[in-house]
Amino acid sequence: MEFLSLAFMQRALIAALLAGVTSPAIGSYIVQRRLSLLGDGLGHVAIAGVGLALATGTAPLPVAVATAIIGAVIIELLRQSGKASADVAMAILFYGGLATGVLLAGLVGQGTGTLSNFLFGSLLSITEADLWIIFTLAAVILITTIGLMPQLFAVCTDEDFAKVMGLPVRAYNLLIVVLAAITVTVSMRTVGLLMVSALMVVPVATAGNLLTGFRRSFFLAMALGVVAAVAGVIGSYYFNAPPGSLIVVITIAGFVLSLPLAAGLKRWRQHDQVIEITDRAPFPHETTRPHEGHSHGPDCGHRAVIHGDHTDYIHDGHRHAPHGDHYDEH
Amino acid sequence: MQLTQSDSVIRTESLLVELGGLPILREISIEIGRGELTALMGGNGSGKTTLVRALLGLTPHQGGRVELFGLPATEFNDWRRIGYVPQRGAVNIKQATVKEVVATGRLSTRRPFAPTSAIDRTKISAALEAVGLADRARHPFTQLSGGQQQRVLIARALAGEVDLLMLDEPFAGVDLGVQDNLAELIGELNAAGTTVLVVLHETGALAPLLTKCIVLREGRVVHVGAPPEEAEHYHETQLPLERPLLTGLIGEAS
Repeated sequence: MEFLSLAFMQRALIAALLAGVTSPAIGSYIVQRRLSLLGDGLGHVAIAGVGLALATGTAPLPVAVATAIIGAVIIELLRQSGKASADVAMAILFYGGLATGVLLAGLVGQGTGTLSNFLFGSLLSITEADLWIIFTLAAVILITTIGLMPQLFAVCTDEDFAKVMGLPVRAYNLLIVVLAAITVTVSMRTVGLLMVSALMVVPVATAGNLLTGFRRSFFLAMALGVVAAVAGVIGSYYFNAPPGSLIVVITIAGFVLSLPLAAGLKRWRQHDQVIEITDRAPFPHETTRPHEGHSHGPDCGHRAVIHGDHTDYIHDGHRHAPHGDHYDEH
Repeated sequence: MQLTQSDSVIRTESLLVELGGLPILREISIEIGRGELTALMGGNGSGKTTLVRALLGLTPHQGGRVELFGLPATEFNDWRRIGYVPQRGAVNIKQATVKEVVATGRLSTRRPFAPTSAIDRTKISAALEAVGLADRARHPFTQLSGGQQQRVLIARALAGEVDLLMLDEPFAGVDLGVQDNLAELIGELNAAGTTVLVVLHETGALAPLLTKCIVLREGRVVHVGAPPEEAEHYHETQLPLERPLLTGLIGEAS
């Protein structure tokens, strides 16, 4: 644990913690809106900002934040325009950003070596000034994604309904992509611009496999993101690999591990899943004696079948419903 | 403003809606009064859904005017009074419990950054109770049957302070027995004082409850008046055999 006494590792760990908690937070909305690759595009745009900063000798983080936000606004306006050409325009924006960044960095002799610190993350390059900016931006992201959860969730699941509720849907949509742009730059130092999208999307998918409900899986995804980011940074100290690569491999390993778990959970949950039968015929049945020491009900753990005016329960080859002092057996 | 006290809940005058330069709705002048249960009918592409969307301001109109609760639609902002139930296929919910979906129906009254209030909670439970899904609150929405999902969407619309409920094809993809249950639910809500506008392919289980029937054909109103005879007649001209044959078969099978 000697790395904890190293100043650069302390900074890297704090940055990883913040990247790990913010990326899945905004990622939850992006996945719900089926825009999983948005983060990747925003990362490409931010590379132009990094190139510009390298070319002009300024601090990369603020320039990258500004570039990514401008890119996000353009992307959302293109998307809202609904034109078929918007798709191509976005592709041009993404690759234009990447190319501009590489070109600008190359022109001032910084080459891809320096740039790769930003593309794949780097333990050594985080300054204290960076950390303050990252901390402030992360606070903004967390306050908005948690505080506006009902509104953002509504906009992501059913835009029309949200409009009828009187919500300013366009503004909220814009907010989501701007927050995503900020998240990309927050994570740039640890995960890297080319891989940040994985940290936004994969923990959300893993959490969705394990828990039901938006809110619960939102917080689980944040926890998974933190574990992966922090473990990735520690691992990269020992393996001398770019932290981004390790973080992404860990998140994907988590996702793969969640698959058999999800299958098991699904089978277990089916116990209280309800089937609804709606034949209109009178229900044929015979009467049987009641159980000794067990009464069926919503929480009895047996599979329920809503059947017209009553609910049957299935177990041990029976399908029956309580009726007065006996059971009706189907 | 005596207009707001009037009994008119929805009123349009010569409404014109164009999409991509093509007129979809022409000369639509309709009026729906408080407490009515109106069916909006017509074949595929007749403009039913577009009319509902135009009434709600989701689709802009190029001519005429829309009034909601006696106010021009542009001035109306009391959105909690309107409950909208879109077509089930248009809703994109991946990861949410029934309760979370219904809770979004409170957003017309809820302020940003405000936590869930006691009133929100009461209204959400009451809405789930009204559609008979109180025990499903914690279930994943995607794992429910089609009829149950439809009821969740109705509960979501009811979670506001709804005076007007607009449902777009609530019976689509829902089997006949469940249609009966939904029709009963819609009838109960209407009996309790909610004005209802429901887009339908056929009057079906709702027929005895309707107070009015508006029939569209190719973007124009071709019939306003009493159901169900006129509407049935309309159907015979459009779909001569399907409905009676289907009803007959199911009647015999059971």
